[in-house]
Amino acid sequence: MIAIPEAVLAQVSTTETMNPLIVGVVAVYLLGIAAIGVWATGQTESTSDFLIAGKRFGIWAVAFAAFASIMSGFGFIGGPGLFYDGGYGFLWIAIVAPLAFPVSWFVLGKKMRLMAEVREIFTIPDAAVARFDSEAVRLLVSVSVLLGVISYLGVQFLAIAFVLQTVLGVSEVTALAIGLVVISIYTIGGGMIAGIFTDLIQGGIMVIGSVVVFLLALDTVNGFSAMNRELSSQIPELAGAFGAFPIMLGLTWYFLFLVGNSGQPHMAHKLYMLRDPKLLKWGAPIAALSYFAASLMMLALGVGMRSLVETGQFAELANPDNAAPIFLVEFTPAIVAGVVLAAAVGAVMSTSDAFINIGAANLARDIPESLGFEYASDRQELRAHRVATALIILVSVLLVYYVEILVGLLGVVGWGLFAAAIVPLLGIGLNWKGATTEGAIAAGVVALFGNLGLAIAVQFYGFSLPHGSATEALTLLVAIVVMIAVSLVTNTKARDDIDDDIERVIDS
Amino acid sequence: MALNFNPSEDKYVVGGLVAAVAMLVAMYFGGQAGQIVFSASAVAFIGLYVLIGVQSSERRHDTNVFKLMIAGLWLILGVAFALLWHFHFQNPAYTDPTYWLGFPRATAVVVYLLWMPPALYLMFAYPYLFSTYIWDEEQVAEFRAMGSDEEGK
Repeated sequence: MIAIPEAVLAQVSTTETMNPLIVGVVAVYLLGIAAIGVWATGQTESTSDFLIAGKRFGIWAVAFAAFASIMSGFGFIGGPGLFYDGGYGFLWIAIVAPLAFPVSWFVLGKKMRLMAEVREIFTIPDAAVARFDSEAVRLLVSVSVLLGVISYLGVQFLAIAFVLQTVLGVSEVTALAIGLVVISIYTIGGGMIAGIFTDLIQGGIMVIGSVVVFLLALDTVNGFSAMNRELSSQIPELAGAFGAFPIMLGLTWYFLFLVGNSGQPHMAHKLYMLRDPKLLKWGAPIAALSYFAASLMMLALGVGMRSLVETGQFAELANPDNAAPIFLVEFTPAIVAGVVLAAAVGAVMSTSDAFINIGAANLARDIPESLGFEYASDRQELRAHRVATALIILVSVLLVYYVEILVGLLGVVGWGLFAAAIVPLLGIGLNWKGATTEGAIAAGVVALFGNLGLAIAVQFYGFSLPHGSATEALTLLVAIVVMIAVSLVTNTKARDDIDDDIERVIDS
Repeated sequence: MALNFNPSEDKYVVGGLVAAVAMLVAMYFGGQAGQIVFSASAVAFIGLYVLIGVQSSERRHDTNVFKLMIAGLWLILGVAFALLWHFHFQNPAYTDPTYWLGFPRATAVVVYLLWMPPALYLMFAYPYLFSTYIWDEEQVAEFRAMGSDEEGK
């Protein structure tokens, strides 16, 4: 068992000198990722290669990429922080993904992949416009996705800066610059080919690192039973099924993150990239079990750290997000800490690369096409996507530092914005012939303006839903209700009015 | 205005609509009843959402296998939530709780029953049903041909 130092007051700080072994592991990891980017740049010859990796990957790569991009910095760094802060209430997000992946696979797996088989479809708005034949739908989904992408990227970039600053002991700006150089090398040049390869490596490191740290953390706190009894004796509610959070918040999170999983473009988009639709078969167990293994760490580490603090064995953390890095540095061997901190960087980067790619596709393809613009050649479009990738990175960084309020505003609606825009249009629209263009437009309006309106009300006017419910769950539910209700009284692009090839996808 | 409604094609979607409205009502009223209604409606919606996703396969193969699959999922989730509410409302403050496998009982239900059992059930149902009901050789050939036509245009 690892000895617990007496009330260690020192917290990981930007000036503290990190163990060279930890720094070395993270540095080797960053160099490896950059090298993959350079190699993948040579492999990327077309827009299809850049956006959907030329449909060349097998199920391990695609399922790992799906899980790795869902397990973002929010999960790997924010997760332990939320467990530390609110006790077991965060379980209502953490436990969802293993069930959400098979649900998404049943609902969207086959349909999304077949859409890419029958039409030239590279993006989520491509699929929406193929189904509903409406540029208004494309514009609404594109804007929702773009706002969601920028919000996620702002948060992910802050997470990269946070982790690298902690590990390398450099300033926040230097840490961010290092992270952005590596991400830029592999996303601008290598597109999704680099993205999927790096996700595969990042996902593998996350799974192994999480399981090792889970066991070490349990050993440190003498198992779940001792940890929970100590926690319960100090603050009973933290050990409860809903922790310190309102019950309705936990329940609405459960619904939002479970059903909303199929509306996440960074997950759904991966389904285009399979080289053979039949490979879908084992995707759900691979993605779900990988996520389960990768989420074990946040549970034991976050609650374990709180238990150590509450029993006086460790000083209170100034910032709950420090729970993971401090625990790793103080309680695990340097090599393990290095690997897991590299995994944390990987969690952030795998989500970032997916969003950068989706955002670039929005800027260079979806929005121009919705306004009637067409490229003269595929080479010109590929070049435009590379420029758009650089632009998305630049704009997101500028927003992080100069329009902080926007990042704060959008940061809370990212998942909900995607879910409310995409679940009704694709989750329901690609499976139900009764879905109409009018229903899709109405749901798109609710998703975009409902989420933004509620976010403004919450951020600036202190609004909250009764009983602590998540506002994003409300917009998802209303968007679903509106989609179905409006479709039941309208007819455009429903049943016999659906294009033959799309109808065959829906009937498949 | 003509109603765009086909009972045989729309039954799961309408069921989902009812479940979604029930969730909205439960969110508004809250309280113990609201929490129970919300969880039950969410479980219903999740099952119906999967059924919406597989209804084309269900029709093509004229099978009840997906309904049975969702009945199993509802059973697992229903038992888990029933136990959760039973233990949670017995001791909502979690003072001096009874422990199961290292956790207060209601928390243990979330960790050991709600987390992986429904997920394991559904994640392995997918590959188990895949070759027979979800994706057969005939369909592969059909869509490959459609893809070739599209590229040839």
